[in-house]
Amino acid sequence: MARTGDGGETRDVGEPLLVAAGVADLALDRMGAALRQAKSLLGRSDLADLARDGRDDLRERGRLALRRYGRTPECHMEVLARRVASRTGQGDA
Amino acid sequence: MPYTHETMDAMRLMGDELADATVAALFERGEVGKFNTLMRYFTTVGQELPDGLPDVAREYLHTTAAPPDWVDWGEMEKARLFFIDNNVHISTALAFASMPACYVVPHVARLLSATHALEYPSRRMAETGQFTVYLMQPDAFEAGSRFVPAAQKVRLLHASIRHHMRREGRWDEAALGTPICQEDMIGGQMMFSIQVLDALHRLGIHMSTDGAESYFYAWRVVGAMLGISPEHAPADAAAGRRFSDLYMTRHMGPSEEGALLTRRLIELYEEVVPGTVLDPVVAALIRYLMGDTCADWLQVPRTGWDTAVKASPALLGILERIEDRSPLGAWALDRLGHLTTHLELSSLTRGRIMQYAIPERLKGEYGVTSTAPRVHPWTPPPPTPT
Repeated sequence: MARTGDGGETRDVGEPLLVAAGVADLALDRMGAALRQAKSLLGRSDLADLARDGRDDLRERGRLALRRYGRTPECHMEVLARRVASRTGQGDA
Repeated sequence: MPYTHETMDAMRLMGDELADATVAALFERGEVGKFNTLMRYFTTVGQELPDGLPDVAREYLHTTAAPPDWVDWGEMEKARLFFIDNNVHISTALAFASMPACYVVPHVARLLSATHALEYPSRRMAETGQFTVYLMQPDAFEAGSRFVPAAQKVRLLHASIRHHMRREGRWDEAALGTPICQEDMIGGQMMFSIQVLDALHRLGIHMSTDGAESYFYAWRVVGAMLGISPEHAPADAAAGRRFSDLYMTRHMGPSEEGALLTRRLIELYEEVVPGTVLDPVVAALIRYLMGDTCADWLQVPRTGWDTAVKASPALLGILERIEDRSPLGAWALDRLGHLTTHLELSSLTRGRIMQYAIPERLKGEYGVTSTAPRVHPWTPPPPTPT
């Protein structure tokens, strides 16, 4: 974290800059943690299984999202029309 | 009531006694011209009837001035809110599902072609659009409303078409029964009610049962005001489903007139859609809402957009989520919906007030001349020959 303590070197830096630096530091911190996690991951023997689980998870999420947004109900008029077409042979009119 | 081939056959023989008798008397006494002229000045509820109006018309207007006494006003208010919430979707369904549904019933398509010379459906679309907007005003049934007089005029318009079709021998009464009979009127009522709800569902619009039932109910009231006998009209959406399915499967099929009307409808909507890039969406949307079999019967062209349009429920779903989550988004979408509906209606009416006048003869007043598309570039008329 950027120091905001008593050290004279930071006293004349403006507030917004300090906040921005704080955010950047936090992001780097997270990135560091992620890198450390990745490093420990690479050492794992079940890496392939983990990747497959991750992919399955993503696929399932995708399926749910599609169901939420993209469900296409059957066309009622088409059901009726097919009934008529099969009765009268008008299907390919 | 149960809907069977027998009960439906019986409805094919029934017209609308009150309106038929009024129109017959007006024609008999040669008072149609006078009636139409005077009625242009009678547009709102509570207004005094113009002087000189034929007695038979005065009596008809008096008898039909009030909505049926069984109307549940709470339901009507719910229907209005449902309409406000879904105005764009409902307009879309009316234009891209209800209108083609009329054309997929061959004898209805033939009647529309004969009466309107309706190669051009814009007039009917404009009249229907304006009618629906009048209906959904908060004061639709109060003093100052334009809806009740519009309904009174449309009912006479239907009666006059019955009168002309019969007198001119253009209707095969032995095979088809009465023109614009009770079965066809209720069939039309279903196209504007249950089939609109079907289309909304197909578009992925989420509706509450309460909302859907009240929308259906509003058209039940409108039907009664247009001369549909309430004892024959389906009481709720479930009965509507039964009537609508039997009606459609009894009559639906291909016809030349149906294909021609559909082609004109597509052209009309391509005029309304700004630019040309999105024009194929019109045909694709009709195909999506009507299904491939009906679309083929109506010769709706296949386009590259057919697949893309299938994503419209997903798109509408995302818009709905925005609407639910953000008041600003809801406001913006509401304004957009309002603008779209009014743009559609004003493109169709082109600023005219639709008068719903009784045609003195067929084709003449409904001829192509008054409704021909006006998008072609204007060129000065050639010099008058000397």
